[in-house]
Amino acid sequence: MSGGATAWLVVTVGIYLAARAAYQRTRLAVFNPALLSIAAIIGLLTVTRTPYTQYNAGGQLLSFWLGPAVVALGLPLARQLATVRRNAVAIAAGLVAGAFVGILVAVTTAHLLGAAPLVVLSLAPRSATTPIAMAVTARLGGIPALSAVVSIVSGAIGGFVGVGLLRMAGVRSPLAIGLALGGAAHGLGTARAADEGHIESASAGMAMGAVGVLTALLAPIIIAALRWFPRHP
Amino acid sequence: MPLLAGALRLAAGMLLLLALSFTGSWLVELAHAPVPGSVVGMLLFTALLESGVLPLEIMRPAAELLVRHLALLYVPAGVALISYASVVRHDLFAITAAGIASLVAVLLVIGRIVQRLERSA
Repeated sequence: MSGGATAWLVVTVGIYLAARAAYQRTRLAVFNPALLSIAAIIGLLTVTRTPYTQYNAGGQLLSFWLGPAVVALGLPLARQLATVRRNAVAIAAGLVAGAFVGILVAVTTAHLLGAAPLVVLSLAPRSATTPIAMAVTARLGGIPALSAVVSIVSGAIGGFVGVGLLRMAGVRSPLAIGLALGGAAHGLGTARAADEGHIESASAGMAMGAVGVLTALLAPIIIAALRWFPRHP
Repeated sequence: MPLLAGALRLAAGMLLLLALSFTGSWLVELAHAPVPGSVVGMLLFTALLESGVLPLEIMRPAAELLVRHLALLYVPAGVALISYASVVRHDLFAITAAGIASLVAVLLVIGRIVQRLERSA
């Protein structure tokens, strides 16, 4: 690995740790560590006129661990599965319907508003947690980086407005609130659910993993089905 | 020496997670499935933990380290957006609207369905 690649790797880790510290101090969604790091590095590359391929010579050492990290998400999922057995039917129905609707609404809205097919494809895994969303899009042939940013930003918005929106819709059950936050807004929804209580927290973590898996399984099917209709992607 | 034992456990856990990720990728290539291999690896991992084949205690250090710093791992891949600036600018409204519509739809669908079907406490 060249010196430049090592330098960009060090810069990436440094910026991430600084952003993480800023977020932990303020707890403000705008200081989302991943989003802040991505924006700061894009700014640096633009100012220094560094091509992405040169940056990624070091960056790919981090990307390599995304696969094992997605596998690792099975641990919180396995731990939380035991806590929700009592309402298995309600939970399964809600999460499967949620994952399905999340893909369908994202894809059809983008298509009807005239987005390019590559963009439409990249929006399909919107409800999946970022690393899963990127993996799904990579497999479908879209733009994984776009899926990442859409997943992070929509998750941050969901963490911010989710509880209020659910209350307005008459949802009061802690289990339903937790599952909705984790399923719709993954990591940041789960962080918000932790403020509500322990049922909300555990069910949100479980929903995040489950909706990620369901989205990975359903997205290729929905994309293939919509290709059947001539006016669709 | 507890430090050495901890380091060994971390390394073993990392290697096992890597192996599961590769196994998942190999399986989806074999089946020509349009599903990410890492997600198949995640399902395998969940099943191995649930069944007790893989002890939770051995896997915990590696899995928790990766999950805690997951955001760092996808930063370089996210920076690739720099190469798609014109695509994003052109479809910015559609992307924003689709993201928000999907978010609201999922929140309401999961919330309402679970509340309706849930057994009362």
